[in-house]
This record gives sequence, C-alpha cells and structure tokens, in this order.
Amino acid sequence: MKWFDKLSEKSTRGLAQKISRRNWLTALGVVLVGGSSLPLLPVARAASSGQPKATDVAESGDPLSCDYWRYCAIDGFLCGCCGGSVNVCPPGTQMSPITWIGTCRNPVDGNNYVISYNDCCGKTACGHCMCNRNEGDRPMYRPEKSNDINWCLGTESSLYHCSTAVLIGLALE
Amino acid sequence: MERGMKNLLVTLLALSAGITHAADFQPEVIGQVASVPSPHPAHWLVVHDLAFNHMREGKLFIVDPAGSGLGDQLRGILSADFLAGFLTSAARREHYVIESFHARGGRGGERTDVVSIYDQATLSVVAEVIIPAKRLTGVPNRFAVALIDDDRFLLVYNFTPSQSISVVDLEQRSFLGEIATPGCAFAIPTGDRGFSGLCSDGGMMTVRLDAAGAVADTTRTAPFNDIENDAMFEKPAISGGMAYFPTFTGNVVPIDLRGATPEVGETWSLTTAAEQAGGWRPGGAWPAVADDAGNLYVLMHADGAEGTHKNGGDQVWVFDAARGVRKDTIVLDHWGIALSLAGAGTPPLIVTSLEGGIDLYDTGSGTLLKTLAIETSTPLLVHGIR
Repeated sequence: MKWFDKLSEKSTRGLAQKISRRNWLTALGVVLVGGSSLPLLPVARAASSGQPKATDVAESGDPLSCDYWRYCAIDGFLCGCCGGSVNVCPPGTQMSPITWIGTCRNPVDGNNYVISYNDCCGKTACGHCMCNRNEGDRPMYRPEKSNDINWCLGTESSLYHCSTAVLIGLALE
Repeated sequence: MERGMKNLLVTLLALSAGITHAADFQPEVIGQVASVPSPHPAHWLVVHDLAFNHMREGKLFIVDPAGSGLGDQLRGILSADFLAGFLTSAARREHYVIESFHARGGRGGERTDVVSIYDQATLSVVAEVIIPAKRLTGVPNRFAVALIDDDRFLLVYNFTPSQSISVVDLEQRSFLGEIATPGCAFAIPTGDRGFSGLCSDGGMMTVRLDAAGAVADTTRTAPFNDIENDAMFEKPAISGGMAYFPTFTGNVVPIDLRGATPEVGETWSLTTAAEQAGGWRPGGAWPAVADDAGNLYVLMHADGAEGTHKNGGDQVWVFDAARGVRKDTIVLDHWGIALSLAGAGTPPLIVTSLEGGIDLYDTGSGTLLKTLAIETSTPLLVHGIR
C-alpha cells in the first residue's frame, strides 16, 4: 500500500526522531508501520549522557525511538529528546505525581512490566520525538489507562512538556 | 539625447494622466477590518488546529470550502489556547472557545480557564465567562464540551482527576456551578435539557437539569460496555439524538439519547466473518460520523489488533445506521485519521489525512473533491456550522 511505502521510507530516515512540522501525524505513521526497520541501539545511550541509569533490568533498543519496548502505550514527546531521559524529567520541569500506566513486554527477558508514563510539566511543549503507541490504551472514561489526557495534574503548572516511561514493577498475570 | 527625450515624454504622459484623474481619485480608507456573514453559511467549516508542537497557540480556522484557493477559503481565525474546546451556535450567532491561559505564558503561573464568546460577524470576543480551572486538557473530544437546552447552557467536562461538569448560562453570561460526576467522563447531550457521561464501570450516568440549570435528577445505567475486551470509543457518531458508538474490535452500540435517559440498543457488527479475519477495525482520532439521512460513516483499517484503535484507515465504510447494513465503500486517496461532516450533519465527508490535510469527499461517487488550501499542523477535528 502506498501509505506503507511512504511511511516506511520516512521511518528508515529516522523521522521519528527528527520531527517535522507535521510531526504528530508523522509519528503516528511510524507507529503504523512498526519500528522494526529502525536500528536497535543499546540503552546505555541514555545513561552515557550523564543521566541516571534507567534500571538494572536487561534491556535492548533505543530509548530515543518510538519503537523502544517501554513506549508500547506512550503518547507525547520523549523526554530523552528534551534534556531528560526515559525516566528523568528535563531540567527545570516537574514530574507529575499521577499518571496512566501501561504494561509492556521486555523483549530481552520476556517479562511484562508495568510502565508509569509520568508527564514532565511546567514548560512549553518540548516539540521533539513525538510518539504515539496504544497497546492497552483505553478511552478517556477509563483514565488510568488513557494516554490522551494531559496528566500534568497535581503539579505547579498544567503545562505539558514531555513524557517519561518509568519501570515500576513486574506485571502480574 | 534621443533617449533623454523619450524619458521626458514618458514623464509628461504620466503626469498628464495623473492630472486627468486627480479629481476622481479616492484614497483608500485606512483601518478597515473585514467581517463575515452571520450566521455563517451552513456549508462553512471550522477547522481546529491543535498545534500540538506548540499547544499554547492552537487555532480555529473559519473556512468556506467552496472557495477555489486560500484567499477565498480562509475567512478568519480564532485563537484557541492550550488544547481548547470549541462549540458554535448558529441560533446565537456566536462561537465558544473553551481555553486555558497561564499567567506567565510558557513559564506557567496561575491558570485561568475561560469560555471566550465570539460574535460570528466580527469574529471578535464580545464576552467571556471564567470557569473553574479544571477542564480536561488533552486530545480534543467533541463531547468534552456541549450545548444543551437550545444552546442556553454550555457544559465543560472537568478532570483534575476528580470528575465534574461546569455549567455556564449563555444568556446570563455567567458560571452557574459544578456538577460532580464521579467515575464518569464527558457531557453528551441527552433529552431536552440533560447530558450523559461514559463511566469507568461500563455504564452511563445521566443528569437532567431544571430550567435554572441546577440538577433535577441523576440516573445511572447498569454496566453494558466491555471496556477491557471491546471498549466503546468515547467518540460517538450522533445524528438526530441517535448515538452510534463504534467499539475497538468493530461493533456498533446504538444508544437513543432523545429521551430523558439513554436507551441502549442492540449491538451490531461492522464486519463480516471474512472481514474480521482480515483484521478490519474502526480507528482514528474521530472514527465515525452520522449524517441526517441516516448514513453512518466509519473509518476502517485492515490488520487491526490491540493498540491499532487510533490508527485511522484507508477506507470509509458507509452503513444504513438504523439497519446496520453496509451500503458503500469509499477508498480514500490519503490515509485518514479523523472524520467530520459539515453543517447539520450533511456531506461532503471531511477527512483529516495522515499528511495533515483536510480532504473533502463526495459521498455519492466516493471521489476526492478537494484538499483545503489552509496550512495546519495537527488539525484533528473539523466542526460544522449549526
């Protein structure tokens, strides 16, 4: 299909990371085609920039890419592209204390983990690395499972800046 | 020398021309500002560009889609700050932008939520009503805000994450109060002067207001929405008080909202067994709309699975909404992510494409009529004039 070809071409150019003015829609397209054509880089990429290490859980993939395993239900700008990292807010922002959670499968150990997609708040939109994936996402009337909501709630400011993906536990079957 | 003479002649001619018409010359007036027809013609559209990358600067484009180019199409713009909501009333000849302002702009500061009331002729703000700074912000939903009681009361869904509805009296230009809706989201107009919310237990909650805008009574249905296995989209297609809720796996739940309380009809499927096997599912930022003639248009994609419910689609399937029978298929020129209709639910079919354009399709022939000339970034929803 022509949309597949077009979006596949975009994804292999890494447009998920180099956001254009139509970034949201483009990023959605990257999700549509899946990210299998994107190179898998070690997670140490985030840690090597001086940010706190993500976790002791063995992982693979690029945390600056929409197809990184933790982002199976993310909707927003990746904080790693905004001065933070996968689980750390960018300087000068504030992490929302409440949010929605997803359950994503770690391809390295095969376990399902509970991911807390806390938003970082208090500055204008980051505007980089927009990603939208919806595994387990449910409509906004089930808020704890909805990624369409601005979760900058309980923070000093409701301004949304970017989204993290914090590992908070192993999912129980 | 010869060249100098020629230049002199040209100069004299120009001067004489000026002298000839000086008496008739009328200087243009400085300070003119355009206006537009009020109410707007029924075929006009309001395109909401969320501007997600810089969401404090959303826009609502007032568009005449019959225009041939940008100059004829784009008739005016409303500001729509921070993931705004939008409503319009042809009866009141007003637009309503439900928006949020932060005292220090991009640095934050105190937040003020406002219903900005625009005159349709001048497209300027004629009044504003300050409401509790609690409204839901996020991906826009047509039922995060609502007009009921012949457009007298304006409702705003709040999420803090406590859930409630703010009631605004448009005649008095005042905030009346807040109605708690624990566990339930959105305000879908119901009956003469009521609204319904979709609840996290799988049921619906309905609130009827009295003539003063206070709660007359509240009812809840038993749970009927299987949220985990086949959730109803919170994005119904509504025409004439009949709501059609597509579900993630491809069913439709019809709900009659014309009475005082919702009447849940019999679920029917969008797909045959063969289509289900091909993974055909509805999806998108707004996956379905219904027109006044009883047609239900649903944005469909193949190879659907868990998590594809916002993907949109490359086909629009047209159903007889009352009978649940498929009548037609529109194969889109560009992958679609949201559907809209003009006016009071009339074609053409309006499709927001993955490329960010607004495409207009003839519902009879299924052909692409045009792509609007306006430049947008994330124009998810288009509103008709009604």
